[in-house]
Amino acid sequence: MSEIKLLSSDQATITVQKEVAERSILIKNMLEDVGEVTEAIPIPNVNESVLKKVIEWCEHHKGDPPAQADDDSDSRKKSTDIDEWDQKFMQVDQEMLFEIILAANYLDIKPLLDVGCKTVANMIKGKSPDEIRKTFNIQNDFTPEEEEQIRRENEWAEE
Amino acid sequence: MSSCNQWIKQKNKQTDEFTHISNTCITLREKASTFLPTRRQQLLVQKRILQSTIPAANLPNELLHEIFTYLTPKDFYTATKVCTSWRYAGVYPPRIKKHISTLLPRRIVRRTSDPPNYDLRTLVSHITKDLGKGILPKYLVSTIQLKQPNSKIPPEIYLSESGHYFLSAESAPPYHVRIYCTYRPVLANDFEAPQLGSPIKNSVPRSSGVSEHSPWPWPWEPGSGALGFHEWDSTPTCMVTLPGPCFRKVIDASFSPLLCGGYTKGVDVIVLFEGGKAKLLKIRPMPRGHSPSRIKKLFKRKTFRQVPRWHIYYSLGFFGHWISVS
Repeated sequence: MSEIKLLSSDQATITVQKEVAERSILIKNMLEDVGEVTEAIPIPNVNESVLKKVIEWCEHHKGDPPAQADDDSDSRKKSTDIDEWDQKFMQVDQEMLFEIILAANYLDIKPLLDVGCKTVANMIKGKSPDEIRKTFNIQNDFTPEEEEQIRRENEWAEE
Repeated sequence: MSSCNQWIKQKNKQTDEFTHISNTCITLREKASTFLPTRRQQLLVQKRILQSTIPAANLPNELLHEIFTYLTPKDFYTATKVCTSWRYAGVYPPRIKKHISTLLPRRIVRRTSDPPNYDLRTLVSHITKDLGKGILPKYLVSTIQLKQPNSKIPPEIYLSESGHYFLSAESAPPYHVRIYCTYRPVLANDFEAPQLGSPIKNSVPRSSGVSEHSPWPWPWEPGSGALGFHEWDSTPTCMVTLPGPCFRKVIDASFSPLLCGGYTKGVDVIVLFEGGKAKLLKIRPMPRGHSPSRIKKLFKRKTFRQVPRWHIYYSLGFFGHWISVS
């Protein structure tokens, strides 16, 4: 099994099986375009800890069928069910969770991006705006005018 | 190494440009804060700068939008009330950024049966008016039929089949028409529905337009169906629940009279929303000059890989019209 090296943004080199790395469409496309590479592939937007986490996910899912173009279907959108292993995998602090989502987006690993987005969506579900703000440590930065507009919208929606 | 670097560099170029613009915006915000006249405004700007360090509030629009697609309409609506960036992501889906393509919108290619009297072409061109260039060839359009309900609802209010939409129209010129949505389904014969008549007057409509002719009652002149939506409300602010099990982000909407037996029965609201249901809806992409296999090939090419598909589905009552626009 051939191996490739990945170079994180903080200059850490991680060796990984080619098959695992190719879960990333970005890397897969690059390897297709560039051909065989012996040097480490720079991943400038992802640091070592996040890259290791992403690789951990890729290793666990290396046997999964590749994502289809039509995966953007309704069935995928409707369900926020997450596989048990993935649920545990996503039990990380919020900073890491969002870093993983960003990395999955950058590396183009659609299934991982889906898991990340579903995790965040599940954290939002059933909560009020205030509860969501508390959960994610977000500040209410609306102007009074914007709040008034939202309040007027609510009048109808929550009537 | 150099080829890898070059490849990655090329890939990152677009992201870098985006980051640069974002950073410029933050710098401008900081600068602007010093010129703000009131303490309240200064505090607000500072709050927003502080917000820019919180990961959840700083996900790119595209990713927030992706997260929102997993929410129910109610949760989605709640999420847009959390902070300005979430609201922005919910109200303005990143359609321009996502749909970079050189294909121009063209025309109706196929329809399975003749449309009613009014001009379908006008309707479709109206629907796609603000999408302009730089979009993929297909859109998904569906209709919500709004009919005058039974019971005690005031006559000027029409109710969607799903119960999620209400439409009110003025019976005198200039015939303002407004569509309101609620996130609570209400049935046509629901006795709660009349109570919903009063708040309409003071509430913010989801969409509004002005018709050249009286929307109802009879007559609505054939051919003058499509109403002009104001620009500010043509942007989606909600997810739409259609009679079928389909949750999508609305990107534009238009409406037309529903004609049955030669007289107006109600209104068809045609909603353009995010696609990706080609299989379920059995839509055949047939843009002019390209065979389906050619289209498939196009989508397999790298340049198209990341671009989601959009489709048009248009139906009116029991008539079904499949439309592909490229």
